[in-house]
Amino acid sequence: MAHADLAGWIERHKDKLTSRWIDAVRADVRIQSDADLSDEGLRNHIPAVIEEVCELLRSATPPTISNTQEARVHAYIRFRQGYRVRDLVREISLLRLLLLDHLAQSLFEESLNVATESFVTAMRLIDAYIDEEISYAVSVYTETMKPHE
Amino acid sequence: MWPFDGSAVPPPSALRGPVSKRNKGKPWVMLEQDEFDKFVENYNQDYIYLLTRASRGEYHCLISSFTVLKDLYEVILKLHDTLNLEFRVVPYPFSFRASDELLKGFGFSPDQIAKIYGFLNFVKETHGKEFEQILEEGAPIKCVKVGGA
Repeated sequence: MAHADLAGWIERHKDKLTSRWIDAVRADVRIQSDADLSDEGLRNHIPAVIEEVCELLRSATPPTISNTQEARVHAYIRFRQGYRVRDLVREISLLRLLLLDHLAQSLFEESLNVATESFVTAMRLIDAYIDEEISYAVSVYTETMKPHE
Repeated sequence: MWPFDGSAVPPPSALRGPVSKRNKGKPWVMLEQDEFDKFVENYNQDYIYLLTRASRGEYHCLISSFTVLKDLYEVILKLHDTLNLEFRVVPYPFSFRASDELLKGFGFSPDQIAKIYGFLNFVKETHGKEFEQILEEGAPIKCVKVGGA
């Protein structure tokens, strides 16, 4: 079952979600790597990541290599920017929270008439997508920095 | 160097290894880490080569080359996911839409980046589909004469 309505609900608020995510990252004192980045540098690839999440919901397919491209771009750019991996994980985690909170609000939108089953499936897809990015990021950081035998 | 000549891919005979307990009795594919590193390095070189062509406005047959390269990229990720291999060399993320930061990181100037994005528009105009959609469909694209993609 596709979740086009939920995807549309997220996509319509993409800019607001991005701004809120920037505020959340700036406010999180545990994240240090963002200090030298402008808002534009911090925003980076997040709108494209949100769009990709929306595509995932529309197609209602689990994350695969093909439909998590923007997530990998985001992680890779952070790696190149010298971000600490724990900061990257935290900022991705903040994005997950924002997306799930926003998704939860859809339950109160009468016009959307979201079924519980659809909500739960969408939630799991977002969760799995974010986990894919974290897994990739951890690989890139840890495996590259490991001394070669 | 492009066009891809297949030299980066180990021959099938080299990929067959002993049956492993780890693979539950199925014959498993062996690929040495060094070979994998080389494979990734070649992919990265090809990727930059194709982006460089796009940055010069040399769009002829480029979509066909990107289609092949995307398959290679997915093979790399699949090998990494399923075998005991690591990203000692990180493959460049395949997607480059809305990735100014990424493209700047590769050393492309604003003019060159504009031409790279111009390629995406060119594909849309000549094929009536988005670049990503063509890649996703994976259908072979025939090169058209002068000025075609």
